[in-house]
Amino acid sequence: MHIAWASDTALLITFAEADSDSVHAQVVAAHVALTAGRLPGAIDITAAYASLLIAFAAQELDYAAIEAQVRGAIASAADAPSAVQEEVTIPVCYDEAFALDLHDVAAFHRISPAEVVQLHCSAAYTVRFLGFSPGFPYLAGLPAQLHTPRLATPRTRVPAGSVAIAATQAGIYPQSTPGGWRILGRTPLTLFDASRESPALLRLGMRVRFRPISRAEFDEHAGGAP
Amino acid sequence: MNAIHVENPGLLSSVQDAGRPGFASLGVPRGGASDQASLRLLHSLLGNDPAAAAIETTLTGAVFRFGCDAPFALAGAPAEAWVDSAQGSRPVPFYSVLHARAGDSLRILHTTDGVRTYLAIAGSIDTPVAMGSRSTHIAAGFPIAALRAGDQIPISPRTCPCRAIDAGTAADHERAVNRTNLRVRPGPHAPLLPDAFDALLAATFTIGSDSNRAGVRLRADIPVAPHSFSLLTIPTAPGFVQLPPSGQPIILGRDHPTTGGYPVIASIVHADIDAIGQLRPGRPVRFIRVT
Repeated sequence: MHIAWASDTALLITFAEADSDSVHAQVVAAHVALTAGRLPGAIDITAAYASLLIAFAAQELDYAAIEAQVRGAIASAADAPSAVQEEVTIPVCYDEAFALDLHDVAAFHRISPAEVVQLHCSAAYTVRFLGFSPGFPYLAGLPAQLHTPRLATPRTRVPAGSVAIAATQAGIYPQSTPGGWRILGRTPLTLFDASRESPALLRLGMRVRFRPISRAEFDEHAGGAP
Repeated sequence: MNAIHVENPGLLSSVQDAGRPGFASLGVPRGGASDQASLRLLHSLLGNDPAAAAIETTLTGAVFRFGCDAPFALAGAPAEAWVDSAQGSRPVPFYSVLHARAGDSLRILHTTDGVRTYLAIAGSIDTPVAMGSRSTHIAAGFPIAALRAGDQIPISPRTCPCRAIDAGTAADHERAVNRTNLRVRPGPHAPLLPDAFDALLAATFTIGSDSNRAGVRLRADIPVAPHSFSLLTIPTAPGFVQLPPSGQPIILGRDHPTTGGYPVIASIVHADIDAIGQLRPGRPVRFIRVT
C-alpha cells in the first residue's frame, strides 16, 4: 500500500497497480472503515479499482497526523471480518430495439446472440466502483468469452438504462450520455435518481446478476425497483 | 410566486451554490459554482446565507426578467450589464447592490474577461434541492436542468441596503478572475512520466474552446510528453491535471467525472481552483511550481 498527497487537499491511497478480487476487497474494507472513521475535514472518499482518494475541506491540514490516522483505520479494516455483500438482480431486456450491439458482439466471438445473452446472465459480477457519471457501475466478472473492444467511434448518445460491456468490464448507463461501450440490452430499472433516499441503485462492493426479461416485462417494469 | 424569468440563458446558465460534498463515491462530483470566491463575495455583499444559490452564466451573458421587486448584485467575470425598465435603461456596476422592480429586465452582455458571471438576489433562490444542494449537475440534469428560455426561477427576496464593496477588494477580485498562471504541485503520476512535469512548467498553453464545467482543455504548439500509458482508473478531484496520450493536458473542473484513467501529472493548489472556471478560451495560461 502506498499513501501520498495527490494535491494539497487530497490524499491518494494505492493498494496495488492491478485490479483483482482480493485487492478490491481491501479497497471496500478500507472505504467502509474510513467513511465510518470520521476523519476531521474529510468531505469525500472516492474508490476506484485499487485506490481510494480522500478529499479534505480547505483548511490548515496536519498532513502527518492525517496519514497516521488513515494508516490506523486501514490496518483495523484489514483485521475486521469482511461483511457479506448484498446481491442485486438486474432485469435486462435483450430485445433488438435495445440491444444495439448484440449481433456485432456475437459475430466478433463467432457465437449466437442467444449464447451472448446466456453468458452475460451466467456470471456473478462485483461493483468495483461508481464513476464516469452519477450512478454508473463498473462491474468486474464479465466471462472471458465476452471480452470485446470498445466501439471505434463512441455514440454521441447512449440511451439511459443501456446494459453494456467494454474490454473486461460490464456496466449500465444511468443517464443518456455519450459512450463507447457495446450495448447488449436495456434494464427498466432507474439506476440513479437524485431525489431518492438512496440515489444510486448500486453501491461499491455489491454483487450483481443479470436476468433476461421479455419486452412485455420491460414495459411493465419501466422505472420500477428490483 | 415570486420569480426570475429566464428570457435568454445564453451559452449556458444554471443554478449553483456551494456544492454537494459527500457523494463522490456515487459518481457525483461536488460541483457547485465554478468560482466559489465570486459566490461568497456576492452573498456577503447581499447579507445572504453563504449556502444560498446564485445563477451562473457562461461567456455570452444572458437575459432575465424580474417578476417581483428584488435587490440583486453581479460578480465574477466582468461584462457590461443593463437594467431595462419602463423609465429607460441604466448600467449595472458589478459588486454593488441594485434594486430591480417587477417587470425590469437584466441584460448581461458578453464577458470581457473570464467566463462565468454570477447573479444573486438578496434572500434566496428556491429551486429544488437534491442531495443537499441546489447546484445543477449539467450532464445529469438534476435537481433541475440547465436553464432554458421560459423557465421561472422561484425566489424569496428580502430587503437589503444599497451598497458596494470597497474598490480595493473589487480590484483584487477582478485580478483573480483574470489569471494567466496557475500554481501546481507534481501529481501522483509525475514520477511515471519523468519529463512531463517540467515540460508542463515550460509550456505556454492556449485555453481550448471545448472546455466546460467538467474540464478545461489546453493546447500547446509542442505537446507535453506524449505517451502510450494505459493506467488503471483512479479517483479524481478538481484541479487534477490529466495528460492524455496526445500530450495536450486537461484540467478537471468542479463537474469532473469522479474517476479517470489518464495519468495525473500535476495538481492545482486549492487557492487556484476557482480560477479554473474563469479560464477564457483562446487566452494563454502557464503553470508555476509551488512547494
